[in-house]
Amino acid sequence: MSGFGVKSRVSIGLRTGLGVAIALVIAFLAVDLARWRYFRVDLSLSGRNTLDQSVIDIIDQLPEPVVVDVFLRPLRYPYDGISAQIAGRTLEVLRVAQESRRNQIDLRVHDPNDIETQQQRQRELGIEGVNLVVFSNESGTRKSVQTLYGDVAVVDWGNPTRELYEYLSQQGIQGTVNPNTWRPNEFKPAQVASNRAEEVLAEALLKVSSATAPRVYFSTGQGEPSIDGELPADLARLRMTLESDGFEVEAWDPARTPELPDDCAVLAIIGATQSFPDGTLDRIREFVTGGGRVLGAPALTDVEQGLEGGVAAYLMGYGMVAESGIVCEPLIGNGGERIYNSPNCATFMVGETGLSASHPLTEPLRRRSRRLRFHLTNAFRRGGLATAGQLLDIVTSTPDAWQDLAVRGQYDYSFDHRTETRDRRRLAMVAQLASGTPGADGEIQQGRVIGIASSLFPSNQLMDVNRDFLLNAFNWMTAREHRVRVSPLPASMTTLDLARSSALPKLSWTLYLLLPGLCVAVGAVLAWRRRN
Amino acid sequence: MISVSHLVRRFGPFTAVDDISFSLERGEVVGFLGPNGAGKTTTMRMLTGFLPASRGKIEVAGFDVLERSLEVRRKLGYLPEAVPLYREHRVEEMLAFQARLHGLSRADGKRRADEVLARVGMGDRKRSLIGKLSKGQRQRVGLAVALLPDPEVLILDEPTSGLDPLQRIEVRNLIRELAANRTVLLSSHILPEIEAVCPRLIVLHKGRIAADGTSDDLVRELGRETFVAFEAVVPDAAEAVRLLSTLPGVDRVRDNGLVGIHRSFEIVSNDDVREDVGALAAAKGWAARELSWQRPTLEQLFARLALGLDPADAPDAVAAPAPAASVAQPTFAEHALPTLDANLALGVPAEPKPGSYNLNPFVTPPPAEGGADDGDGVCEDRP
Amino acid sequence: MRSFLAIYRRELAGLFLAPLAWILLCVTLFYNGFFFLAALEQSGGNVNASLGYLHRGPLWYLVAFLPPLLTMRMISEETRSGLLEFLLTAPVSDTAVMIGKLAAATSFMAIAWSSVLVFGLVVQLLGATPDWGQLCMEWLGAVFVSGLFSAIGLICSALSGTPLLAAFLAILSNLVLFMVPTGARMARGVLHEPALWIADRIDVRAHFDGSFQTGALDSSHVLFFVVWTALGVFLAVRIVESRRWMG
Repeated sequence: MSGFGVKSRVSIGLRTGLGVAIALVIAFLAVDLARWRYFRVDLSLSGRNTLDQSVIDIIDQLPEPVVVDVFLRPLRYPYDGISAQIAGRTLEVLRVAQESRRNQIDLRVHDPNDIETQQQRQRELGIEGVNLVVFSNESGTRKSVQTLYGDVAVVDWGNPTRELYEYLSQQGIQGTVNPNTWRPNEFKPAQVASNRAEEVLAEALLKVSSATAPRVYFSTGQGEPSIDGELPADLARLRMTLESDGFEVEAWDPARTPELPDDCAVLAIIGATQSFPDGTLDRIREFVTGGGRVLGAPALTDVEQGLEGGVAAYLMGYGMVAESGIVCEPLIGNGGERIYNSPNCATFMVGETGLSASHPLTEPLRRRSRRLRFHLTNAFRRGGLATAGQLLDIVTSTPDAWQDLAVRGQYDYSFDHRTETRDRRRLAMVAQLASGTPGADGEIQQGRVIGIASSLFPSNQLMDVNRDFLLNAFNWMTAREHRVRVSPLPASMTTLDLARSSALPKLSWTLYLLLPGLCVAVGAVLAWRRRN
Repeated sequence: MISVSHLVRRFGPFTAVDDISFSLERGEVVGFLGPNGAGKTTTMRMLTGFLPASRGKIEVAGFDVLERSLEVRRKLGYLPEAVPLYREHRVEEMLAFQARLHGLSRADGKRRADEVLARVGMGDRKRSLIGKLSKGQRQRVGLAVALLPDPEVLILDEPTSGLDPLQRIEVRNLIRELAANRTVLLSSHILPEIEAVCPRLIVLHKGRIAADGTSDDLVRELGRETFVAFEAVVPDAAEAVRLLSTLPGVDRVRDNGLVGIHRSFEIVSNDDVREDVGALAAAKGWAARELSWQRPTLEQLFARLALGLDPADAPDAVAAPAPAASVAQPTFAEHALPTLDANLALGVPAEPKPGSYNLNPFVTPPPAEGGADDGDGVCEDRP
Repeated sequence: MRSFLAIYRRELAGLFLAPLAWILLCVTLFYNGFFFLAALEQSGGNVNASLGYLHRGPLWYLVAFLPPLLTMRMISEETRSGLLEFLLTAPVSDTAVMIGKLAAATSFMAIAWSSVLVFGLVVQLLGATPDWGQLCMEWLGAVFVSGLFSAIGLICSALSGTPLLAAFLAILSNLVLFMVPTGARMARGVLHEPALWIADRIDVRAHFDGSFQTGALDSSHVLFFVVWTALGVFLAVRIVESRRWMG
């Protein structure tokens, strides 16, 4: 008798358990299935769930899924508001993208409190820092790192106090103050100038999905700064930045292999202090004529000593004639007075006015109020372009600048009106050649040369500030035109004017008293009517 | 209408219903009788399909209860022991809900509700909140709810529990009326009321059918000893016993001692010997106070059954001396009103003396903790 | 369907006839009003952001605590009072009974949460038009969420003998359900991947935020809620049934 009871219980239990297990499996399968085949309509009036068609197209054409890692750390007061606003909108755009094409985008938002996981993932990606949005392909071979403050959202930092400035710098946010106008003891709140989340998404997706990573070769062997070195004048940070943006970086020693590698997309000749081996410069010119791209930045000694067969000599052929003398700008004192005769005059920022508005390389920087920093730089004079093409100034100093000439090997950093002139100095130029070779898609790839007047400009010490310019430069040279125009969403701000109308008292009365009161009243009436 | 064969229901190791079979014809009214834990409620729940049987087969109105559960439920009115009513609703709302459950149209539902309420005598309490009704009124509303869809089979679990004597009469009469065109199965552990309503009884004991038949059948089947009770003032008890024993048909005579100045005798006989005894008393000049023919009642049989006593083996237990009467209540029927009242109210002939079917407390084992009872208590003894 | 409607009407009436319902409604309105006004003032009167805010924080506290209170009595007490016996012997399938109860609890939540629609109407009358498409989707999402949590409440009510225990169990389960995704991200070692895999498929908030919150109707998110709610009903039916088997 008891045997039957136990047995039947067990069998019923098993059957029920099996049924539940099957139902559970079906539920999981159904959830997965629903995710695989689905339809989605945006019903919001603001259309916030609808990405720009251009972005949708890019996502649709992704050859493989893209992983988006978001590393956030909210900023503290008084930046908590904009921090939340930016993070919120960015996550929303990323979510919308993920939801609209679920199988193409794998969004991973990392918990800011779970530092261990964050760091582990960052090690996998080979990056560090916070407030980053990292796009990568699944194998991790290509990636694009976007900073939340800077790339994704353009922030007008107002005027932070010294303490806040230091805090922001600690958070890896650069360029928050303009040294010329900064008042360290005052505070003016920050505000979001624009949120480019959607554009950044599109650009990053394009970069990550490009079939092959373009190769950048840095020349070595002529006294160039090392691409692995950590000294202030070295280029390790440029190399890392390029790598994190999906480039492959290699060194090229013309003394060992005179021929340029076939897969060279961009050749960087930066800061050579000795002449290149014979014939090297010709080969580089041929490379450009055949559609190659070169970024050249002469070292100060190269220009001052008039090295033959160096970077300056090479650039001269494209009309970028590096002139002797370091560019200085007067400092602005606390009282607004101009200060000369300081070594600091040789370190200056180039703001909006110094960036070309018509060139795709500098236009985005201008739009985002980016500044560049130069230190001990020469300047170019316009010369003649040897081949057919276009020569453009893209970065210039203020008209106050002069080129300080060495007197007996010493600079005095003061303007000498007898030997020196004040003028806008050309700090970076671009030569776009008419010639080139047809590329794979039939379009003719034309040669491009960018000249920057200082080899210190891309060095480790200035990399923080100049990062975006350099990235844009390399991207433009490899013709990775990832700039996508996305019309900004109409801000879905329906605002109730609380300050100037009687809306708030009305609202409070309705919400606090009328509606709950109505409930109580209905309940009371009902209870009264049903008292017996 | 109802056919049950080899029904078994186990709760774990405990067998609540052990291989019972019976069948009910259309228009039959059958009482389910048995002490708490006998398996009445369990059987009824299996009949309604609420509980699945461990083994066996039940057909109601021709449908298998498990396979054609919904059809069975449509034919069936069921009133569980704990009358299921929503306390926050009015009577008419509860009935309307039942009507909707059974798919009646709004008009039909209203009409039926009025009919059944009038029938249970609650026609004037339509708008009352169920929570404010007395227990008896709720019982009647529950009955109305069960009756509303006009079921062919009515299963009532303890329909009179908690009612006062007058209400019991009403309910009993109602059930009688209903029985005209329905099959009714009702359970109770109070024998007199069930005896009064049901021509046929099924006595359940420890999950088995102990007896099945009319009450007369049962008495005949289970009972053997009848006697004439005789109380009179006699000068010599021994002489009286001797004289009485000589009467024709008398098996033996027991002297139960003095009650006041009267002496009480039990004259055991298969026939009615009252006339002879009366003649004897008149001849001897004994002042008689009582002269009655005592047949064992169903209740006595039932009680002995419940206690596991064979009626024939323990006549003393049945005809125990009276003194304990007012103290000892019938312990197997703990919810029942004092039996005297019950008998009066139900119009049961008050033939047996009150004390005569009250069990001797010294013989009665405590039923609550009994081994057979505890498992079934799970479903029998709902609050 | 007919029997489902009968059960549904009865359960809904049962909810609204109890004074508890009106107290809960009143508290919900006050609670929502408080957070809405606070958000409105903080955002400088941004109507859509404030209405959206209600679906980020306040909604989740509400769905963790309210459905358990609504469903706690639905099975546990009816088992005790014998009403469940009545329902299950009525010509109605067990599933219809359960779905009727679920729909009643969900409807109550829908009514309680329709306070956001009322707020929308109020600010509309005051001159600022909210994004109605988004607001309605948010409300709909809240209804789906409530349905899921009511199903959990029903399971707990079926499992426990007293309403109090049922409510306690249900609130506990709800909180656990909220914490699973966070917990999964914290999980280390071999557990990490499977935990994430499961969390991904039961993450209620992610599925709400993914479409309803922003005003999109997404079949996969709708199905997510429908599937889990259906599973909840299935389990509740099985539990009630197995209690009958077990005796």
